[in-house]
Parts: sequence; C-alpha cells; structure tokens
Amino acid sequence: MTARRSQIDIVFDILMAVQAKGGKIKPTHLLYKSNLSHTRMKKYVEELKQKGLIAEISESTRKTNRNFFTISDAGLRFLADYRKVKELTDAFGL
Amino acid sequence: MATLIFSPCWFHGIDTLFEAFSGLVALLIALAGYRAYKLAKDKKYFYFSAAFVFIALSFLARAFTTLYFVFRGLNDVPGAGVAQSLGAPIFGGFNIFVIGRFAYVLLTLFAYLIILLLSMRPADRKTDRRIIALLSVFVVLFAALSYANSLAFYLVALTFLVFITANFLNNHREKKSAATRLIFLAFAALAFECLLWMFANYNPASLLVVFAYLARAAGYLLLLSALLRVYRK
Repeated sequence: MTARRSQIDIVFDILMAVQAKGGKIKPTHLLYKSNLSHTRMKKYVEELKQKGLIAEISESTRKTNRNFFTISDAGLRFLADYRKVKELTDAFGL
Repeated sequence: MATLIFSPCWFHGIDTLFEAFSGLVALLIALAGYRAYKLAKDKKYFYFSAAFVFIALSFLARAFTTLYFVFRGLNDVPGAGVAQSLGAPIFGGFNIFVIGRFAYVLLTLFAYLIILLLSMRPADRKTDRRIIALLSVFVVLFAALSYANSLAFYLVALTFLVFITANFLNNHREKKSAATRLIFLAFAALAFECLLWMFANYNPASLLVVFAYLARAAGYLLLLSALLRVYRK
C-alpha cells in the first residue's frame, strides 16, 4: 500500500499533469490525472488559481466553448523548486 | 586528567580552515533544508535544517576554542604543541575550554541524534518520544562529562555515525542514485574521522590528527557534491 499523498504532493501532481499536457489541460483530463474526487479537485484548483499557480481560460469554437487550465510562470517555478525538495528528500532518505 | 587535542604546530591555522570549510558546507545544507521547509511546510525539513545548523555552530565553537588557545601561545610550550592537560596553569582559560568543548560536543551529538532519527525509514521514524527524551538526556550527560574524556565523546559520536551510515546505505540500496551514494560515503568518511580521533587521543602529536581532519574534509566535500547534484538539476 502506498502512503497517503500530502497536500503539497497533490499540488505537485496537479501541476505536473498540466505541464505534461504542454501547459494546458482540460478539466476532465485533470480530474483523471490528479486522481482526486471532483469536489476535492475543485477545492485544489480554486486554491491554485488564487495563488496564481494556474489560470482558467476558455476557448470558443463555432460549436463549443471549452475550458482549460494553464500553468503560470509561478507554477513552473514551484514545480522546479519542489523537484529539488524531492531530490533532497530522496538523497537523504527523509 | 583531560586532554585538549590540538593539531601539530605546523597545522595550526590550517585546522581552522578545515573547520570553516566543514561549517560552511553544513550551513549550505541547512539552508537547503530550510528552503524545503518553507516550501513544503513539513517539520522534518525544519529538524534536518536545525541538525546542520547545530553542526555548523559546533565547528564555530571548536574553531573559536582552538584559536583562543593558539593565540594564547600554547603552541610555544615545549612538548605541548599538540596537547596540554586541563589542570596545567599555563591555560588560565579553563572556562573557555570547558564552554567551548561542551558546546562542540553537545551540538554535535544532538545533530547526529536528529540525523539518525531522520535517516530511519518513515515507518520506523515514529520512535517513542520517551526514547528520544532518554537519548537526549544521555547526549547532555556525555557532553557534560566529555571535557574530562574525549574518548567517550568520539565513541558515542562513532556509534551514532555507524547507525546513520547504515541507514544511508539502506537508502542507497533502495534508490541507487549518485546523490544517495555520495551521502552514504560522506557519513562513512565522518565515521572514519571519529575512529581516527579515538586513536589520536592516545598520541595527539601524531599525524593521525591531520588524517582525521582530511577524512572530515572528504566527508563534507562529498556532502557538498551531493548537494550540488541535487540543486544542479
């Protein structure tokens, strides 16, 4: 059994999912990738939007209006910093 | 009768540079740990950072004590360039020695105790607080008595370092990365340093003291390269 993810691990997973999709992801894809319930994902997404780590954009075509989440520069910086923290954790077995 | 170990006369000053280098590396690791704490808000990083701050402060205490006695002309005493008994009136700075030595030993042992607890597997890390309290009492007791017996300090420090090294070896076997190998080797070098100090305790004038400093420098160089490897990516 794997250990429960901490809040910061979940944030990292969400941002990683957005980055892995080229910096732009559909809400449904994010839901699958982040492995969270819809309610919890909404809570995390709101928090990340407030902190400026992601942004929500809408792209409209002739037929539909689609929403996406994009990762901001602050989000990319957070990812880089947290990767270093993970490296440090692994190196010292913390 | 206690013995205050200095280095051979020709090594005076150089030994302080070694302390400064080790202290600087310890501070860099503490800074990395504190940055991790600020980002992840996890107390384990705070304790990790505190352990390395303790190590840096212990080197500061040791360097200060050494320099104090070197500047007081201890190195000019015939046959006593390396060691001098506590009771000898030539010192006149008994309190400085006791405080410096106590600070060095206490901070070092507390740092090793924290690193030992942190290096355990997460499942084993939740050690009973009473055990930690008991170990802390022993650390304070050893520190209080260590000015009278350096050997006891090095023996306790060596015991801590052997366990820490074993934990880091297990960590390396699990993760098999260059950084884990460097950290395992670094703590093995620090354990070897303690062993050399134990032998140097019997013959302070020997080159063993210099080799002990070299072993420590190698240990901190390895820790620095592990840190750079983590932050270069």
